Amino acid sequence: MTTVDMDLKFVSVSAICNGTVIDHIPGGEALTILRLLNLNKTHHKMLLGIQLPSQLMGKKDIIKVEEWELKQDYANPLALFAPQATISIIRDYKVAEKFQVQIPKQLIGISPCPNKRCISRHEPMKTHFHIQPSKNETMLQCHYCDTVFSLSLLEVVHDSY
Amino acid sequence: MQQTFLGRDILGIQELPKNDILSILNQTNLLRESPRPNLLDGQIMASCFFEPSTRTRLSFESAMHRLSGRVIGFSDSENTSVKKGESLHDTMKMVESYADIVVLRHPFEGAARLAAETIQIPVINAGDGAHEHPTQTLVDLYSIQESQGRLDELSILITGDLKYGRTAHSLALGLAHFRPRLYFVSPSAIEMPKHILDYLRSKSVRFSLHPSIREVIGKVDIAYFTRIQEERFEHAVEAKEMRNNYTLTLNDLENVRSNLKILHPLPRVQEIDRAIDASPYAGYFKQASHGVLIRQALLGLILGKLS
Repeated sequence: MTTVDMDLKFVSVSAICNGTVIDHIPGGEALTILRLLNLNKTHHKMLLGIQLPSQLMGKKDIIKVEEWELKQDYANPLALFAPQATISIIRDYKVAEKFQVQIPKQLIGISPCPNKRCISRHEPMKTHFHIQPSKNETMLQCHYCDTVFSLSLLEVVHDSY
Repeated sequence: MQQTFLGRDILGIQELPKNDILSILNQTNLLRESPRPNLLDGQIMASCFFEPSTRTRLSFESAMHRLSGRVIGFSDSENTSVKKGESLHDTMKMVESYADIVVLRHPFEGAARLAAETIQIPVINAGDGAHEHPTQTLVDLYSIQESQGRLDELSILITGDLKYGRTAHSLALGLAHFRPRLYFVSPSAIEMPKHILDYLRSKSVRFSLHPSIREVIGKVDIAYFTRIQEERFEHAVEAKEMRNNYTLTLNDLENVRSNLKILHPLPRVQEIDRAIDASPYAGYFKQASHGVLIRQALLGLILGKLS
């Protein structure tokens, strides 16, 4: 086993005492998920596995956060980028809770409206989108200006309000 | 009894069901027949216009004055605290304690909804960017009904700046209740947005797109023109081409229906030749005169003085 393989093995199995494991993130989306959960701005100790081999997904990312528990409502926006994600809440090295994410009806304060003439781009306020799930492409509609846009235009940058 | 209007926000035409639209038009007729000069005595309307407007602002203010109500407000944001960086949220919170109803015109889309969510008193959207202008649509629907004696099953041409023109969008949405046949006339670069066409399809409204007024002017009861908003074009050449190709002249009216009425929310630029003004087909100045009556009815209903 090479050093790289050993490191990968270590990352993928390393257990945490208390915290949250977010598994089955599509390969390469872990950083988006970190921004979505605002974890990129916290001081929690984290382990990230990126582009790990997965039987289910081919490649997957995994995030382990110590001393932090993710609640279902707060986790649901993950479904937009990681619909198969599974969340495990770890307490004393054991899985105390496990749940999957569901596409929420609304997305608040996560991303700016792509319409530059939307009032939300010019006021100190939280953005608010209604999510329209679809088999082909998930669409979002701005609560304020009614602009409808595809998920691919969603830019995950938390509002500071 | 139409108590449902009391305290209600009017933010977009799609939020008004068919029966509510008909109630407003009916109240407008009643006020026209029997004026109520003291109806809003003691009530205050805040007229908050963050960008310039002539017809909409003056007609709202006139409507309030004609019903003995009072008006406070501003006609642009230059002389307000907005200039000092005050947010719309804070301006609305202040106005809330000074008035019974807010009429808001704002350059940014969705401003009226934000205002309505910020304050407890009712908000009427008097235009928010290219988004919504519901009271203009009510004026348009009233003018159509008044000129044709009905709203149902009319053939209506809508032309001009269909991509950016909010009055064209809102009229198409408002008409969807009344089983119209719609003809949209514009260059393909500025045709009616897909989401409006999708909505019309979902309501089984028959419509078609055309490159020339002349193709369809003979088939319609109403020809609705909108201003070419040159400030919205990226290239001046496109705007000039639009002006040249979509101007209505007297010659175009030789074989039209006798009941044809030409409407325009005004101001016009070059869409309608002035020679048409004196013809029996011109309905746009009468349309503008309906603005005060419609807004009287709406203010009376929302402030709970009409039922």
